[in-house]
Amino acid sequence: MFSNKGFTLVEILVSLALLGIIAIFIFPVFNHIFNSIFSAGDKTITTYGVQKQLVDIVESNVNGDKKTLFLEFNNGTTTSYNRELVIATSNYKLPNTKVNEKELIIYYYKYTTP
Amino acid sequence: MKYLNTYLKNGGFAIVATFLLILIILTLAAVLINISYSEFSQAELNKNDIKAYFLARSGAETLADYIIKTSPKSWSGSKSEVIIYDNNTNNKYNILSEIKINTSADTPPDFNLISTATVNGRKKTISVLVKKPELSAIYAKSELDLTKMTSVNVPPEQKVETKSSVIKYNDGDLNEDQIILNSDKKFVTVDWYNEYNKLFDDDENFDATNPLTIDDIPTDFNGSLINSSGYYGDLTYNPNDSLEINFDNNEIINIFVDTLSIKGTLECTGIDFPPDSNEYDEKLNIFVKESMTFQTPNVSLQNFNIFLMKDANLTLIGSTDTTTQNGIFVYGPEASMTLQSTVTFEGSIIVDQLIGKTDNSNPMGTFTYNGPPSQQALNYIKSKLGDYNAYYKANWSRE
Repeated sequence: MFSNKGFTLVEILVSLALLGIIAIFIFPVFNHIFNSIFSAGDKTITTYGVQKQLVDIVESNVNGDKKTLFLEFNNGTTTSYNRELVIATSNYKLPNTKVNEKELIIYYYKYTTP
Repeated sequence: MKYLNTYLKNGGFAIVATFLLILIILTLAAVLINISYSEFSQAELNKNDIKAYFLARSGAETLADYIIKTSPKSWSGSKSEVIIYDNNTNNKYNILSEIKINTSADTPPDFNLISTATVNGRKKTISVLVKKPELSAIYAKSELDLTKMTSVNVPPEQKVETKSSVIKYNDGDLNEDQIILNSDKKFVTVDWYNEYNKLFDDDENFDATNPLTIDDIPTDFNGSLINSSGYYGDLTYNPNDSLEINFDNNEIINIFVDTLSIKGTLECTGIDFPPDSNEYDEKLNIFVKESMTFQTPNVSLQNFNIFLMKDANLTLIGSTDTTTQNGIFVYGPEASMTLQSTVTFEGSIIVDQLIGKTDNSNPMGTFTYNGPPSQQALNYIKSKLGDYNAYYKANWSRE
């Protein structure tokens, strides 16, 4: 049934033109989709890496920056309390090629040695 | 198929194939976009969850430490709330967490802290239970070895507790229910100088801005009678010596020593002993800087407390047939203690290291908990602990 007449030249040209137009729009989309998937994967890995980094810092005796926190009670009183701010940070890749990486930061206020 | 066959029979099907291909490509793109969005959302959720978790934990621990540090004797309201924020610019731009505080009805109360932190809509909650001290018969922070003792007698309802992961004891001496391992209790070393300077609080000539330190006050005391609080340096009493502590003029006598060795007789006079039920007031507190050896603890006194400074050590060598003391509370969370012979306790032990001693490979020593102490004595002990971080984090959980 395929051997009756075959494709016409017009059909093929129109098909190629359509495919070309679609390809122009679809390939960047695919490129972005794949980059996004890889970026999301990298972000997840980085998140857990930063979490591990922070746990290691917390369990070690690394000192952070002295910070004053404020405790505001619902009876209107406010009191201050000193803690040390420790920060774990790392970069993960972004799908956008203009900005390659973004910083992921986790904060933790640990007990401060008097 | 009917239309497809029509096209196929009439000529090529390149347009149809192209449309099909485009459809497949668009479907694939839609699926991949969905996957990409899911991955992105999940990564964002993970990030925000972890950020929120550490902020909630920071808030909970901050408030728990605040309670432990301040040891509030009372708390207004059974339910209260607190917002914890980091404020460098006088704006509450960085709220760590919002904490609901549920307090128990008793005084002082227990605190159940429910700390919630929100990051980009993701909430994490950490719960911390901060409890007032429940004194165990024995608390030894880093080491508790009772294997060299002939017997350990602790009533079933009393606990033996350690921060370490093991307690060494002989089979039959303790039940598993009595053992508390990996304890989170937090006791702070006695501030010896601060306690000493408190003696002068009522002295109008005492300059509080320039408090005395122990080393400023040499002592040549070597007598056999103590009738007032003070610093007494090194005291040694051999088997034929005796030390009398007279309570005629004082309800509480605080004795500060570098070293104290009593192998003779320690006699407390001027007290009502055995006391009437409401007259347990006389208290003897011995603050030890370096070491104390106590060979015949036949002290007839209801409230007898020994406070050990950091790295001090206490050796109790009980005399098996003359032990009649009615209460020793030993507090030295960074000190060590050795039990060498029959010692009967009414009260509690809080030390870093507690070891039953052996002699020529033969086990010796008996620990008998004969408590609990009187309510008045217990209140006094707790009031003492209140000055030294009485509260502790009992447990915590997360949601």
